[in-house]
Order: sequence, then C-alpha cells, then structure tokens
Amino acid sequence: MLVVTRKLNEAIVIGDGIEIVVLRHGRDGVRLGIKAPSHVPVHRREVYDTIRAANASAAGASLQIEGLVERLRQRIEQW
Amino acid sequence: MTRTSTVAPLKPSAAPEQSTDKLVVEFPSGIPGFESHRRFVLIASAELSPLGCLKAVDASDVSFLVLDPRLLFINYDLTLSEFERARIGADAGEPLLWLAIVTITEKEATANLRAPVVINPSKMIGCQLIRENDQYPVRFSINLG
Repeated sequence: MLVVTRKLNEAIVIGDGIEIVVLRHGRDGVRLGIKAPSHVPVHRREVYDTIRAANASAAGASLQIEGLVERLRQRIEQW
Repeated sequence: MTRTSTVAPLKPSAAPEQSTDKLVVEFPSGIPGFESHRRFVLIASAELSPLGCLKAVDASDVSFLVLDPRLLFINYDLTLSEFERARIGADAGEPLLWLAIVTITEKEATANLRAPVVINPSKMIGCQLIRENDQYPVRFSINLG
C-alpha cells in the first residue's frame, strides 16, 4: 500500500480523473472531498461491503422462487 | 441538486405464448460483488410478475430476482443526484426503471431498498445505487403473512 502524508487542503491525484482532497481533520475523523468521473462509483467501505454481501446472497435466489410469486401476488392484492 | 424522476413500470408481457421479454442492459461499473459481469438480461414475464429477473448474459448462475421498490415502500424516494443521473446517461425527468434486489432464504424474503438498481430504458444502461438515506434497509422483510 502506498502511504502518503497530506496536510489540510492538500490533495492526491489518482490516474487521469480522480482527486481526493483533505477538507478537514480533527478528533472525530478526517473529512475528504472526492472528485471522480461519473462512471467511477465512490462508496464508504463498510456500506459497500454490506451491499456486496447482500448481492452475493441474492445472486442464486432465483433458483428458489417456487411458491413465492403466488404468495407475493396475494399479498400485493391485499394491500 | 436532486430531482424527482418519473417511472417506467416493469410490465409483464401480455401474451402467454410469448411470456418472456428479454432486454439486455449494460452495467458499466458492474454490480458490487459481480463487477466482471457487465451485461444483464432483464426478464419480465407474466409467470414471474410482480418479480422480474436480472440475469448475467455470460454466467447462468448469476441472476437476481427484482421487484419494484414502490410495491413495498410507499413514497420510496426516486430522486437522483446529478452525478447518479450521469452514471446512467439520464436527463432530468427521464422515465427510469427502479428495481430492488430480492433475497430469498428458507425463512424469509427480503428486498434491498438501500441499494436499488436503476435502469435508463432509453439507453439500456443501469447501475446499482447506494442510498445515503439509512431509513431504507438492506434487508427489508417482505412480509408474506
């Protein structure tokens, strides 16, 4: 891992279009500003990991849908 | 700046003998955990309705059941940031297709309202968003009574 020291308002440039700026730092954390092209998704690691795990558990689910569709239809009709 | 998008509903095909509509959607940044799969077929059939199926073109075992999140959560927030709209090449106010990924276990069925899939039907580009609003759970229980 590349480790660099940055001061307030200093930045790191990654590749052609990604820039990360230190906006504030204090006891409760570091506030970063991130500029990235629209095709590059930027997420907090823990949220991203949660979504990854949820996707992994959902990916095979279409093999197990017997009965669910009918129950769901009935439920939606009741609403 | 955010703006409310209008919605293109997921419609099942009407004719039973042609019950499967197949549409290929590009996911330029993939789906988290499945980044190597960029092309998915959206299958909307009368047999599956109200569920749809998003299936990787190049892998038969990568498929997701999907459901319109508004069927589960009234007033589900359909606003997109300018940045999010750019990811799917959508103009403000363009009709979009919103899908929540459904997970089924032996005990329950849940829908991921925190990270909906949004598809721009006019360009057939999709992405999975992560909503900052944590009122939307990753595992929203679909209570089937």
